[in-house]
Amino acid sequence: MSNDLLVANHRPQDNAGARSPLHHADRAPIPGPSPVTITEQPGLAHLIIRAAPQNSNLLQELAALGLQLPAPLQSSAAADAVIRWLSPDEWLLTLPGEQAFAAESRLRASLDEDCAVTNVSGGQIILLISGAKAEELLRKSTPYDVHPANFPQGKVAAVALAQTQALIRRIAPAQFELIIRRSFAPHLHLWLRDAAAEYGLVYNEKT
Amino acid sequence: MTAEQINRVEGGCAIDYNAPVAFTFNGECLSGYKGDTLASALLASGRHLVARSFKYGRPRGIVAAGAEEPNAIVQRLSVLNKKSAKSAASAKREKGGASAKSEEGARSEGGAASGKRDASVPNIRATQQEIYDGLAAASTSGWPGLRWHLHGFIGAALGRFMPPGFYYKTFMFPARLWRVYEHFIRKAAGFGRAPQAADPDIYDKLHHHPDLLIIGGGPAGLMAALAAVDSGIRILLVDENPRLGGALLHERESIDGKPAREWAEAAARRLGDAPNVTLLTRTTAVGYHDHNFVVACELRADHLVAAPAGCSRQRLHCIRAKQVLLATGACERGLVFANNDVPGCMQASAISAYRHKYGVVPGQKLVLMTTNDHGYQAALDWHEAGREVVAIVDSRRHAAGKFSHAARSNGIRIIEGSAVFEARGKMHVTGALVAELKAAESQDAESKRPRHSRGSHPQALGNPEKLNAGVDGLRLNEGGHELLPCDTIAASGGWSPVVHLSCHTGAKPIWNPELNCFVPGKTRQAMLTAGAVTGNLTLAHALESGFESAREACRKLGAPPPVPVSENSRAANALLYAPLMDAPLKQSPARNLDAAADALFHIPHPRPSSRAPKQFVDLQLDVTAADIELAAREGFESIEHIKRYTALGFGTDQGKLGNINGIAIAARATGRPIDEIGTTMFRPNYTPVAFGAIAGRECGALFDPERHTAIHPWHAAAGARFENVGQWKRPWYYPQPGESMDDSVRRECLAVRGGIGILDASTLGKIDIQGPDAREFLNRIYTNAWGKLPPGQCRYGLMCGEDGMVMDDGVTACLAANHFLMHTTTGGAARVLEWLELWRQTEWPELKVYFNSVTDHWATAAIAGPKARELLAGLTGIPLGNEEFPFMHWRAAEVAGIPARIFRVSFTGELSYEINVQADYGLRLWEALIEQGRRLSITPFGTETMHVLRAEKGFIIVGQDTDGSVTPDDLGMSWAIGRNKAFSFVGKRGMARQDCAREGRKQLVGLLPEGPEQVLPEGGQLLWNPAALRAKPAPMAGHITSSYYSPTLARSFALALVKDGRSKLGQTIHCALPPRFGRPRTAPARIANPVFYDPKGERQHVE
Repeated sequence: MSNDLLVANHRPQDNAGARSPLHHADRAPIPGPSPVTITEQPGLAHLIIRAAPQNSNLLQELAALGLQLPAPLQSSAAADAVIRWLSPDEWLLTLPGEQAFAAESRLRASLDEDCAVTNVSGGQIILLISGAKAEELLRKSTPYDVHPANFPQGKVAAVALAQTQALIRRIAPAQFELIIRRSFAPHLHLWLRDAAAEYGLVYNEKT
Repeated sequence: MTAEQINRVEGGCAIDYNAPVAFTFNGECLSGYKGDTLASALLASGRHLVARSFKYGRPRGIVAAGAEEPNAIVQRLSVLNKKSAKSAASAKREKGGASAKSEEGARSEGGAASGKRDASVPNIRATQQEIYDGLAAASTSGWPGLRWHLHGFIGAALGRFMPPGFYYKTFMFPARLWRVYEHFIRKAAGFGRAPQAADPDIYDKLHHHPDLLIIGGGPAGLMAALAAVDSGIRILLVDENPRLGGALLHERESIDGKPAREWAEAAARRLGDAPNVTLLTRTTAVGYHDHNFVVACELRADHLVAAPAGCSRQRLHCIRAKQVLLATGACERGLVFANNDVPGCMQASAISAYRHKYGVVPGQKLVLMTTNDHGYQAALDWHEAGREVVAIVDSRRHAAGKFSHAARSNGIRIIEGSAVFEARGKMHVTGALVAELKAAESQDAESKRPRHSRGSHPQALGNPEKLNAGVDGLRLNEGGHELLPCDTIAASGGWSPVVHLSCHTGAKPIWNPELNCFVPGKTRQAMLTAGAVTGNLTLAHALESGFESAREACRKLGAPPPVPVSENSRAANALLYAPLMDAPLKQSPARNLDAAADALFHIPHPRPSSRAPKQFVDLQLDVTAADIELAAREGFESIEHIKRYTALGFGTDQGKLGNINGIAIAARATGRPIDEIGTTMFRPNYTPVAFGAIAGRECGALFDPERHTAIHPWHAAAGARFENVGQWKRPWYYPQPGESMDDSVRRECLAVRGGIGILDASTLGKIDIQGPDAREFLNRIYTNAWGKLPPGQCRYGLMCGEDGMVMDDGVTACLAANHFLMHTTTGGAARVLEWLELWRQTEWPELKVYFNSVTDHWATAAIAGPKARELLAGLTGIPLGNEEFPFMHWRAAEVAGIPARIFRVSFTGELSYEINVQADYGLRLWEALIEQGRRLSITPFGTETMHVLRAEKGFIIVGQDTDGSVTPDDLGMSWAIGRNKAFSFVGKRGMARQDCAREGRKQLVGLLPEGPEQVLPEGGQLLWNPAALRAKPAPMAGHITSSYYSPTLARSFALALVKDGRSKLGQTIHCALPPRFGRPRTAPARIANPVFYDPKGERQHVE
């Protein structure tokens, strides 16, 4: 099996010089009455899994991570791993960055041939937006209905957002996760800054 | 002239008497109060004249109090115009502001715009613009001024000779001069001026998904919201006014024994506190589209001196509602009589609105003309404010109803069975001519009326009193008229439901002959109606229908509906149920115009319409009753044609006041009933919407997404000029100080050919393909064969559509037996991924193969040039010799300490490596290569140099050298067609068509211009015989697809598609050039092999 598919580490040992697509972006806070907080989660491992949903090996592997295979438009979260439904045979698994290669190898080893695991860690980033105005900020940016009645905690949706696309998930009543493609990140960040200007904006830089 | 607020009285509920506001209008400093509209503040100061009319230049005043206002269209001048704001403020301190003329005059916004930003807004209704300190507004018509007005003199002198179609008829000949005429006609026409400089304001959009959208915050809308609020459904209520309540704010109604306004205020408070209710005031629903998608425009900061930081001035609300309740109310219909446009002629309901909302009574002596009891309220309000009501002229034989009763008991003179047929006065009303209306013998009436020539509607003509009773069945009793001196004439002709939004859904409104109005027709949308929009105007009905609509909406939404009305429910929720049980309301039919209003539209005049003073139907576009009658005489039957001929309802007000009267006049003139005439189509938007609001945030830097590679910051810092490729920003070239683009490209080309260059190739589309059937899938989707490509190798692939035409190309690497990495063109990445999924999912679902885009995951630095191997050797440990790492192979290795995939491929023809790393480390890789390459004089190069170098090698770019009509064979790439593959491949049948195999197809060739410095234009057409250029059509032999100057070849060259080009090598062909001094030109070029450089490929295979 493993000979027929290439599984390789894409991350240097020292992880030196890793740059988020927003590394060079303007992150000056914007004062305002009810600021929205942007928290970037760079450098995570992003693995796209394609398989039949009844694949028992996949379910076992996820169980080992404390996860369940989510139903359509749902997600499953554990301490440091989250899996999100993308399409009827497609999920996105995120883990701490240094686990990408190990997780991909493990999944590859246990899954049969009619599956695919693809490392897309470098191709997308996660932004968390939170605050009393976070939902309204999203409503300025996407035609999707993000009201809790339609978009409760844990739900995920791939939506048109700020002229591009994003995978969004509600983490808490006033906190959302946005997964965006790397090349669109500067544009999307600029949009969010502009749209959040009336509320104010702060950055929660992860240490 | 004084700027005192001579018409201000106590009791305006919408204004704050403790908050005076100073503003300027046409340069004159005036004052009002917070909450005033520009119109109410002008009227308070006795300023009536606001415009000159569109066609005849007649003086015009404020007519209405809301969105329907046709005359008071003003330009709000740039607030950046500090001077006028300052002088306005100082005038305010002088109390009363003794009419100091501001330096910044009405028409100075051009000067104010010199700062390159211009916040002025044209085309605003003064009746909707709230005033604020420093507001500067101006009329949009009238030159040199409103009082002395050039257009007005022309209109007065020549108006009789300007029938509808005047411009079409007059400026027809000679046809070629139309452009000249048009230039001047357009200058004279229109309202306001579009700002010339950038708009400094912010606009944005907000999306809503309510269960129930309620449009209109009057009694019906408020009641519906109150009734639905406890069901928990998501409710959005929009209203165009700053305060909720609608007509309750100014009408003489009471609910549960208290003024109705108090109930509206309590309801608004209750709704404002509910978490499931969103209230949007100053928000006009302007468009109702498919799927219950409603667009509403909110004026967030137009009433403020400046928007708060970061806030939009206007917001477009994009509302997708499960249910829409139309509670848009009704708009009072005016009456058509002679000189009904003289300032001082107003809507009766506007009088009440100004009195009760703004504490303004806009005159001293009122004559009220009405066809119904409801109109009497204006006279009562006027009377109670201590001003004189000269008379109420009621068209009905017997005035009945509670308001007429009240008027009578107040001793107001009532003239029954009569009408005002002409207003007197020039700049303002000075009197009203009143005469008795008399029922005509119908035969007599018909014989005197201009008759529609065709006799196709005998039944309609035979039933005049039921159709247009007021018009056809009555005639003026000549001689017995009376002149009533007055300064204000108010008119009430009944009410027109605001059906516009329902019409947006494609529903034709239906004429209700009992109510004399159009009501919303059947629609496909999930729409409910409540209140006056249904045609029933009583308050009791508004409240009941609001309640019932809420019940129905809840039922449709599966939510618990409000409990029915009972003593118990009243005890539990008096706010909701008390109005529904209000006995006096339910018993009073007086406000229901079902029975009360006369069907009167056009007041007869002793003279025929064509000879009488102008009787305006559409005030904004100067359409008169005579115009519509003339259109009918000239043979226009359809109301849509009459509209286009006369311009009826074409204004920015969409004929909100005049259309129904115009339709009634057209009905009479063509001898048909109104329901047969129908209405013209109301289209979005209900009121004009600023372009800025439509654009929203999507302007400037956010107009379209820019995609950046991981290395983008380095390019920007290096001074690269960028080229748009799809949405990507790619470095185009890297100019050094003093360099032109040609200089840069020449330098970069020579560096690659002679040393080492580096290109950011991250934008190439990359698709990861996994699965046991991956190889078979490639066999089918590409034209060439993939069966034997082993891991570690790469192959160029051509992709065709079913038609056999090239659609994409790129190098695909075999990563492992069942694992491939496909490269696509930069612009084609998304399309190709969809293409693969389409074939996999719909045609070959049995194939076990998965695709994933990894375009963004990888960053790619391509190093090219004879020194590429030397550069790479310094950063990686793997052997790079030709034996160990040959051309068209790939290797996994660390480069500069980063795990990488190195592809030895070449798009430049030189020794080249494309180094891919996870994008997070792309910049680190690039900087390491630059650092390592410094001693080799590494040169970053952009897409332009890449294009030159690949063209020298004859490598095509799909989309530049192909255009969807080019087969692999046309490109000389038959070698890339695997005709013997076991399964077929996409495009195989297409390229076997007779047309693809015929002679005379265009084939890819090279061109060497005879002038070695001359770069032929890309897209240039090619001819065998230059003299044939004069033939029409000229016989074209092909066209140029790529054309550059090659520093390496020291001459210009081109790629071209030429008919049978491969058999014409060495022959001379001619490229058409843009004509000079009107003379066609051509340039000769020799046809050559398209591979100009290193035809044997020795350099890319170099040892």
